[in-house]
Amino acid sequence: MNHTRKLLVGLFVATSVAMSVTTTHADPPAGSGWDKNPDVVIGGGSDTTYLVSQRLETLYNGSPGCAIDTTNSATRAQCLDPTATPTGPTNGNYDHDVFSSAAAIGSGGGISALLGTGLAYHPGIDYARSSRGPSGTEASLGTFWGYARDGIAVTTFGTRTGVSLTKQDLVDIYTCAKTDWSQFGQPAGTIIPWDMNSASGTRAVFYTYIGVGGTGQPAIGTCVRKLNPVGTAAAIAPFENDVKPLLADSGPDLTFGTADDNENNYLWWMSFGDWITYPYTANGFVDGVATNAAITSNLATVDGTTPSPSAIFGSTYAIMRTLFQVTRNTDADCVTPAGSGVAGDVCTNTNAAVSTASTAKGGAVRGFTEFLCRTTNAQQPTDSVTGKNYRIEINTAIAAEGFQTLNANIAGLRTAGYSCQVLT
Amino acid sequence: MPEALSRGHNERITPIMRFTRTATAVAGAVLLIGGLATTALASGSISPNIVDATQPTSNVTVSWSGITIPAGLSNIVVIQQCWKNDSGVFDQLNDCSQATGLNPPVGATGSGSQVFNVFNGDEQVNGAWGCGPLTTAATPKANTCYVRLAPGNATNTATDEFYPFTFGAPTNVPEVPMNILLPGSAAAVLGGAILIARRRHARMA
Repeated sequence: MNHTRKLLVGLFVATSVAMSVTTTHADPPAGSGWDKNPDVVIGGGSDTTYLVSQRLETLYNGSPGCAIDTTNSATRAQCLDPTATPTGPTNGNYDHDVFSSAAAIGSGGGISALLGTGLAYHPGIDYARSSRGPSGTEASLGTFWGYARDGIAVTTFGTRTGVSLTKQDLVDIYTCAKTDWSQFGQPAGTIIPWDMNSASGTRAVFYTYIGVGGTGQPAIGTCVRKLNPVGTAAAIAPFENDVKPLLADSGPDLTFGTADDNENNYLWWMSFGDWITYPYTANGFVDGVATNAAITSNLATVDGTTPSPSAIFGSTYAIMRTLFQVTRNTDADCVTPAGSGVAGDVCTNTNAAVSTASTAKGGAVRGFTEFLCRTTNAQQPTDSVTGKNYRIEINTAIAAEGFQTLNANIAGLRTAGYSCQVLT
Repeated sequence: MPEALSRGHNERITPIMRFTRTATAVAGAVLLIGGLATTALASGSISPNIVDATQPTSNVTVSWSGITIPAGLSNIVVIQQCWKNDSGVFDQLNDCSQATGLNPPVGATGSGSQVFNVFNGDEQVNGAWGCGPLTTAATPKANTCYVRLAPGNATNTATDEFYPFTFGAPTNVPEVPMNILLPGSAAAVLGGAILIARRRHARMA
């Protein structure tokens, strides 16, 4: 009996010790989304933010993390943490998660797929890219992390330069109340206003600005052009941020070189970041044929303002927007600190903290989001290849695509404690 | 060999005169070539090129002419403030402010002007460098900064140009038009040399 008891006690002690040791070794860094396993995470949605997301993902993929098990073992390429002490910086990509961007289908398509309110994305996505803010119930299901600023550039084409329009002018044009350039002090010509892919955030921002096409608003006029074949159910609006399909369209009469495809009378809009960065998307050739004369798109002045890096950073341009990364609330949300006295889903952090998931892809999304929205150099790791601080590299990636960071000196643009605007 | 060389029936050239003439000719040729090379590029200027060292921002007027937009690029000139020029390693994304740039249209004749607001202090977005005496924590601090003109696109480093400005007492010192000054200086030096030579020749005669 005594012998059996001693055996049981010994077994219990040994098991307890073994479990405690195993538990200690298995702990990922506390208060994080890491689980010591590299996840593959895909984002999708916006076209405007497709390229900047790729830059940001590349930065995060390469940021430092745990020591990796390189042996031929069951934990190969996972974190090799022999003790509870982290084996690498905990402010980078500790798990060495891998982020990648799926092809663009528009902000709305990405958000609805992510939040389960629309059809699935292929491949499946775990965060969404958005070039517009939340609408409807989106903010109750997800969190919008605004990390960059952009403007909507209104463009004329070819010989029509130096055009200045007001918001009301744009309303009149897009409701087809005014249809000739001579009504705006320009040389005469029938205005050809172009529409845009309906899932586009760039489209949503433009029509929201002019107050056309929404519930209780004036309808978008029938003079607003879609790509051929015009007037049939198959007609589609051009994808955003590339003028070449417009230039290559022959118009309703299906004949090039006639009045209905006179590029000098076109009017459209696109991301200013894209316009200023990628002239290949902003310009083209008559009828889309490279051997024809070149056609440039030209920035119009809107309500007395012309888009420029200075106007976007200073938020003085008329049609501004914030670019977002969207997460499920169950993956990444802002945190109300304990004891803050603030109730509810309010972001009041001082250290760019992000909750909520602690494992798997949701945890990875949490880690990436926190990386994106920190405010100071001290909070970010150093790039082991370039020697630069990752905050500077993030800002440079945003600038490289023609966008601006959120100006800390403009009240209300950033959420306190983050370099991002958090909408949830 | 006698000290003075005979060149004609009544003209005598000393070694000092020969050295002076040769040096003048070489200097003139160099200046002329330099001047012609300058005029082959678009020209621009900023005014003033010394801005008030006590103010956090100042307006300068940027003028340009003869700008040609490279094929495929937009009909704009990108104006940026940079803490260095491209005489050495230069990266417009990191060495120029990305938050304060402008992009006015070039104009039908390739000419135009634009008021541009330059800052004195830390670069706003990254704080990785600063211009002028109001720079605080940022390093390095540049006392001479540049207005960069890039035809068509910010990434155009083939035909971009840099115009320096410094910080000091608020004065209005016009930018020196080097494409005019260099050939003009060469002509003046050569003309002076010829005039001196003729006077000496007349005295000898």
